[in-house]
Amino acid sequence: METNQQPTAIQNTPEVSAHERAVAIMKRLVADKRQAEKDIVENFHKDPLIQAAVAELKRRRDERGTAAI
Amino acid sequence: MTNVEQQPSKYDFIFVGGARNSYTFITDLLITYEIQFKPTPYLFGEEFVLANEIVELVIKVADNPTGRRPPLDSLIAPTVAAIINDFYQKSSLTITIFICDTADRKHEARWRKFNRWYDHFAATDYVRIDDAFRDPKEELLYHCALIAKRANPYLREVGLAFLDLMADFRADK
Repeated sequence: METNQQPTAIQNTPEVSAHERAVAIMKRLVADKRQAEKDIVENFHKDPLIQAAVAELKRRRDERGTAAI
Repeated sequence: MTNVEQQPSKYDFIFVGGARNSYTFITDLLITYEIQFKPTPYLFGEEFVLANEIVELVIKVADNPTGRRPPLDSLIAPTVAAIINDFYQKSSLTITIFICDTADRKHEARWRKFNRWYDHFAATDYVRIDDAFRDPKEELLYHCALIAKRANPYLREVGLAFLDLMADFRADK
């Protein structure tokens, strides 16, 4: 399940120095990762695709007697 | 011929797909992990030749019914490695970036965990470039690693783009 967050634009113009651009990219990378981690936890019970996959994994686990293969 | 029972080597997993290329697996304690290969086309600029192949690796416990901190589990590292390998089977041009999130200052432990996962790779098939950057405002050090298939025809461009990005980050002026 995706959030509707708009990504921060990273300027690629001569007015923005290469340093500023690199800092913006790395900050966005870290922020995006934190958001993705938050979304994983928040969407776990809401996302039907994830719930279906977990149900299938549990079915296979019960069949084998272990989650490992 | 002796019939030797094979020991389990990893957890069963499923590719869920979606916009973030999700995988999921559950452990014997019913702890659910989700792994995402989140498209990150902006990393080297949208005009970069492989912009659409760049993903950020995100690994997170999605559900933990034990209510306790997940214990050390020797099957997680080979499972994560198998999932990364599986994703590269789907798209061998993939370029993966992994950043250690330092929000709770446990990044050194996370970095060690990532190294354990990577140790389970067929390392000769992959190239990994590590670097680190500091956020002086928060006084935090971020580790990051870039992974690409050695056979990627744009390996040189990928390596140079990453080194340029990190050099630009440090070049404060």
